[in-house]
Amino acid sequence: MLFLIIWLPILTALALMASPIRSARMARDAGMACMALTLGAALYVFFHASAMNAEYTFESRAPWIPSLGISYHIGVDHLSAMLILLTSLVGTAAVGVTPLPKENAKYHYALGLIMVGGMAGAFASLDLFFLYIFHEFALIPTFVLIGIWGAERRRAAAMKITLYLGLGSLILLLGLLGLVWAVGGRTFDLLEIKRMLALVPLATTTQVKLFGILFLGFGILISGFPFHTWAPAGYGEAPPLASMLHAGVIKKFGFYGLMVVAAPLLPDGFEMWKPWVIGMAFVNLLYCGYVAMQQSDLRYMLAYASVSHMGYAFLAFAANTHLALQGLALFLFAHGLSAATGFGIAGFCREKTGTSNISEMGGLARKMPFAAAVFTMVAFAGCGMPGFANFPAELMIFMGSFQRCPWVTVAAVWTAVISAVYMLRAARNAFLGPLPEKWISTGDVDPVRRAMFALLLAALLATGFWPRLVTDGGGAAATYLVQQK
Amino acid sequence: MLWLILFLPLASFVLIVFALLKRHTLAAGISVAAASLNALLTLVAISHPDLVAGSSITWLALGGFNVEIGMQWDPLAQLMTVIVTCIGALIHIYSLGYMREDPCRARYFGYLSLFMFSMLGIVLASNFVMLFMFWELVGLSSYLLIGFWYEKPSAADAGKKAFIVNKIGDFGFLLGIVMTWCVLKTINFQELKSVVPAYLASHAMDGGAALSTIAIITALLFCGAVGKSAQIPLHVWLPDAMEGPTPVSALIHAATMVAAGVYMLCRIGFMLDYAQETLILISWIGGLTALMAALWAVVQDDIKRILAYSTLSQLGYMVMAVGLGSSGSAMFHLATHAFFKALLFLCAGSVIVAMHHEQNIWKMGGIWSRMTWTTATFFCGMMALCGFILSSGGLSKDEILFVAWNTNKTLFTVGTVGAFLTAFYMGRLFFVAFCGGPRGDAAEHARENGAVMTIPLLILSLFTCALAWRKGFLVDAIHLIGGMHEVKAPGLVHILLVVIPFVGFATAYAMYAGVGEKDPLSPSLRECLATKFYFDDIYDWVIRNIQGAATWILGLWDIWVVDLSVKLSALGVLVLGNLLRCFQTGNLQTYVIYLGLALVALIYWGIIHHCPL
Repeated sequence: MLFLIIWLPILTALALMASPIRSARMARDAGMACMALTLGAALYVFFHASAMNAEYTFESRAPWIPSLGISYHIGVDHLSAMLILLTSLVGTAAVGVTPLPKENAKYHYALGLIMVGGMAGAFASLDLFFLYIFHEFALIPTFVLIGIWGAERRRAAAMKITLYLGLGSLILLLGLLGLVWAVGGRTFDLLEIKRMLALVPLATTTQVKLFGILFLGFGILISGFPFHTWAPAGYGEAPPLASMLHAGVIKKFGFYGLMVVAAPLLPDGFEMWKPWVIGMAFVNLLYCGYVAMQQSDLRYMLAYASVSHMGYAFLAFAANTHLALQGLALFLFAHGLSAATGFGIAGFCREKTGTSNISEMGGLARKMPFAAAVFTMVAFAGCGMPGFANFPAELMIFMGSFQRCPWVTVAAVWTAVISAVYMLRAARNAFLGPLPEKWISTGDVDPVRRAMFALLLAALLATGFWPRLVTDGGGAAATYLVQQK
Repeated sequence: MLWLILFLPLASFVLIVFALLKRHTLAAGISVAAASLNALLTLVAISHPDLVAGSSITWLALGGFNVEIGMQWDPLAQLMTVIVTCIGALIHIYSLGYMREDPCRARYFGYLSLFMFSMLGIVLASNFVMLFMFWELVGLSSYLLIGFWYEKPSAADAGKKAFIVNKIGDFGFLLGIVMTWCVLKTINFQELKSVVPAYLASHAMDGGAALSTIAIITALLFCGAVGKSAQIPLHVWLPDAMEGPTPVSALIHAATMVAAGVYMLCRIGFMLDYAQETLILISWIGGLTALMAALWAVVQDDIKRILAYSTLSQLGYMVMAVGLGSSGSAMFHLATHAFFKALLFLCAGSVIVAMHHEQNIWKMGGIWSRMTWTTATFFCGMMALCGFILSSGGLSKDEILFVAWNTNKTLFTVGTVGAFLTAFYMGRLFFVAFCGGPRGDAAEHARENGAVMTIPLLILSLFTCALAWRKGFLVDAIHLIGGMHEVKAPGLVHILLVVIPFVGFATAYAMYAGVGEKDPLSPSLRECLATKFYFDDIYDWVIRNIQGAATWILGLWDIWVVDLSVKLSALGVLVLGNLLRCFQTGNLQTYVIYLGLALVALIYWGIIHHCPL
């Protein structure tokens, strides 16, 4: 099953590129059919993994380069099963929602499918080499999608995001190689390294160095301050396919890496770097929140909002309590869905009106009530409205973090107010108010895309109403609790 | 039974929003039916307590943090449920008439059902987190209903403002809840009743640290009530909220939602008892709101805004009562106020419809002779609001003032002055809008509305009067809620409180009976009160200049300092950057070749090593 989830999108992408399909609609339909299958498999994996008590399910392993100790080792626990489900939900919606490209459509969709397969692979990998390679697989198409199908400033944006994230993943590679080297250089297998380190932990100085490198690498990928400026540029100019998948899924990889690789393997390093993580949480939450208020472009605003909300996750990671980590896991899921929906709807409005400048829009609710409703839901999910999965996630993070980091938790609670200000301001100025003459003939969302938005929102609402859908299975987040001395 | 009461409106909301947005009559019918059925069910649940089975489901359970969705059916919740469902049902019916020509009324009724669901959730909640969830949902439905006519810029702005101001209050509220759990390890009201004293007892040696922790927690929780019940300094959203349809103003922004803050304070009364400092804060905030809002109401010209300021003022009385340690009298006033204020708003709505959506009282006049039913019922509600002797509002307001007399004479004075002003501005409204001669065509051609609107008015005025004459059942409920002591006040105070409304009303008569189209109040006084003591202006200034400048600077800072310095420090790895730039040739073929090569290499390895992928 896991095999299917990873390789079906990638093989479909290859087939699509090789095929003579010229019509954009056909390419999209092929992509959606593939994603529908993948989604089904991901649902199966998710519910199966939740039902099992074993630590890893669907585990399979084959040696790849035995001399270096690299093996193709995949398997999922509750956390990665949830993230894989997120990947295929967002992937399905992204393929369906993105505007039909005018040219080279089959490449457009193929790259999207490769991103999906790459991310699923990264979340499923239990081998550091493949963890890295699969992530690169997902990352590189992002650059290409922005560079070719992006908006006006796509060149500069693609350049910037390539530099930042390329650098980030290089640093990450260095850190991972350093880690492998530090444990003897005989294996890349995550579980084996974990066992080895449980017996003989690394020296504290080594741990601090390695954690620093990994934290920097993952931090850049997550858009932690001050390495966040790639996000507004990248998401602002990206086609919805790329921004939905990247903001919704790929960005979450950084936290996955911190939770699965960096913190449990290097607990002492984590302890030393904790003040920095807390500081990053604080600055991301407040600083980027206020910068988001200043944005005049809907997509840039959503990008800063997504950067700001990463602070919740940093906070939970730093607090390192059972409750906070569980909240973090649910938050990654919730934020992935709501951010993807937000970028999807912003892209849709841009496609219909030719602008995503908030002050140029205005009054669109009359002509596109569905889009307005979707954006309103994104806005309320963003400021932590109960009913959306963001609320239970944030609640758990607050409850779990207050005793460890009280002041940053206060800042995190205040962030909901900041989010309400910019989200509702955007909703007011873009969708409410009188309908200007120029939008008299704009139309609403078509049925296919309606279904895709409904899919994302249904997942968001279902987990919001009944968070135990995710948290009951995800009890394993406790396994990521880093034991402190 | 309680689950049915809670989820019936949700079902109606879901049905309307997902299936019936185009079927207006059907949607309205379903929503009205759900609300009426709810009122019936509530009465059944009250009279047959054996039908009510307490049960709860676990919504979240992790690491000692348990959130249950459970029902609490104590006298406090019972009283509030009756208020919410009865007034709710009447206002649903009234809306049939008020909104009959609106092209989007299906959406309106859907939102109304959402509101009923959220409000009942607050009332029935058995713990803080459940209360908070529904608390936020009421904020959402209030946002949606204030901005219902979203094409009107003022309505869209008002909805946004209401939500954000409430969110600021909720910031404190949520922190208070988080602290409650972190300190006391439970969020369940029943458990807290025994946990709080136990906590204080076990920390008795700390020299008051535990007591001040409780004081901080309750003060934070009170922030929520300040937002929701529109107390100073977060009162600014309520007058603007009058942009919503009038039945919404009656139901949400007068009778029920804004009272939720007071209800929440009564709910946590057992915690407030341990926090003297918080109680003092609460009583003063309430007292100041009662007085200031009454002052501002004197110079309003919009009929709905006068009523909105009077709502602020009356909420101030309730909050003051809580602060003075008498939750019972706060709930008593909440109950009577809910009925007479809903009545007043619906009467105002009836006038507004008859006047073709004219809301300025200086364009009305002589309505009493054209709209008899509306005027009679309005008079009935006005008597209660002014606190005339033998009216329901009089009974409950006097109760609060008696408590004030016994505990804090300054606040008693504040409340009495407020009572005088209440009678004065209501007299002004009545003499200007309802008496005298018509000022203009609209007033001349005003006609009584149909039965669907007048019958709810009659029923509400019946309730308003009945609450005064047959107050037995209400007083019983209040006694069960507690906090209402046998209040004793000297006879002189009784006489004073009887006389005050007459004095206020008489003053209004002397000034406003038979005036023309201009307010005879001295212009300088009028101007001074019309500033509303600069709250809005200060907030606007802060938002525009301080927050605006700060975000502007941060925005530039982010581009020119953060971004640039990261880029500059990346100079060292520029070589690396150049390397990466190869990817970015802009040539599709090249990109695809990279990817293809990578894939082929990977698969090649796989085949070479005979691995099953």
